Amino acid sequence: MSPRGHTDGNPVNDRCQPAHAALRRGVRPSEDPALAGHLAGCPACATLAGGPALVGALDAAAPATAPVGAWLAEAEAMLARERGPRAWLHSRTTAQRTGLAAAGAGLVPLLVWLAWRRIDAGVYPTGRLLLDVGVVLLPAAWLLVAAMRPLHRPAWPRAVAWLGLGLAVAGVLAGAWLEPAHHAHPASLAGTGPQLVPRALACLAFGTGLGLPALLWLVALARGGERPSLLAVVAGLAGGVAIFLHCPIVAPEHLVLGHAPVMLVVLALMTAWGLATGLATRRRARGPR
Amino acid sequence: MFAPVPDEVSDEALMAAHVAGDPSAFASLFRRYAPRLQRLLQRDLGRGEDAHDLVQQTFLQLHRARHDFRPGARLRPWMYTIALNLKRQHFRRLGRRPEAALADDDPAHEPVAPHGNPESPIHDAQVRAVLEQLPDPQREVIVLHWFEGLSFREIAAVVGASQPAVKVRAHRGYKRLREVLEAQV
Repeated sequence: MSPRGHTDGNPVNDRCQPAHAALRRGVRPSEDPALAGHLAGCPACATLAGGPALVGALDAAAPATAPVGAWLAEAEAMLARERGPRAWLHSRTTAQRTGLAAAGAGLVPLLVWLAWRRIDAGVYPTGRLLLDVGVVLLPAAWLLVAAMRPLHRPAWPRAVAWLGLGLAVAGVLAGAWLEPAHHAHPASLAGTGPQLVPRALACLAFGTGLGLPALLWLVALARGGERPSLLAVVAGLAGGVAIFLHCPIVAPEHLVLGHAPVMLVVLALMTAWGLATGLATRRRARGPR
Repeated sequence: MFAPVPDEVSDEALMAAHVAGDPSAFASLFRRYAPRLQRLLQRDLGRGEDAHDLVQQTFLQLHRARHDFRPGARLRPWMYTIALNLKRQHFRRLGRRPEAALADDDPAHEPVAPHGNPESPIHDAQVRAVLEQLPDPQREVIVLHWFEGLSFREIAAVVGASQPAVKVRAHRGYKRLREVLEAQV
């Protein structure tokens, strides 16, 4: 057994490869001290060597492959189409794309705060305001990092995303669970009784509308490996924070019906869009009948 | 104008050249890795067209992520990680993991004569069936270790586990295969 195995031009210390090559040639450990030494320290390879015809059986089970030479032109054409602003965004590093995504999603609530700030902002307790926004932004940041994780990194367990989603749901409902922040402004007391549904629907529509630009920005930054549902939730959370910073109503039922579901509506819109484009793609793939 | 890239150039040097804008570097990487990735993906996907699509997507994603590649990093784990993540996404979109393409009636799949017992051939479809029955983490490690020739360090980087963990998975997977084959011989 040679000290270095076949490495395809990659001079790496693939310690098992020379052993595999020797086993494929039918070399027995008793005939090759280097092979015997490797097997003594590598239980996996020792198991391979110890079975009846396991090596041959494994190699025979390799799938038949088609020549891929013709695929190169197709791949090069695909790369040639990678032009324009969106391709430029895709080629930014993951840290840059995550930063751009956070800035874009955060810009929506920031602009709302600067231009359409809730009219009770002067009497809304600052600590409570920071708490209400923070419990949403923290899981949003978590989900954004999870969503932007690049494909060349091993995928995180699904529990990471589910935990972020759980925290996000808890965050958007937290404002309703807590006592109303104040009753010091007349506008904050509206949105209940007969006004509940119309005001809640108005906030839901406005919040969704505010979340959509964030969604478009996140989708533009997505390289294609991201989970669209996570991007939609982040955009929905941005829309939810934006409507919270605009709407002065503090009634829990209004917050539950008008603000909290913004995330769900944006997610539903993204899902519907994904289904529609997926259906169209499948139809195109099938071709005319 | 770029000079042709010699075959012995390392993956990392090719990737650096691709990032610098050398088109022949991408072609060299493609020629080097497309057959391996096709083999890797074909094993689980069954359908050749799906493997073709995912190989192309793997290279597209590699290109898009090119500025994430840092000097000193290894390219091979990157390629396999992208391919396996895309494969998982493909299955997630389908909502299931398709049955393996076990073509018992395929004449291309001939029985294998074992070294120690030529009288008791093992059909390759049986081996693939056993591979299919292994838990995903074990099968993935075996495929990367035996078929793709990755080191345990590289496999650990690809699957996001520690080296001892992937060694244990490989050992258990090979042991299971061996037990089944011993029972059949």
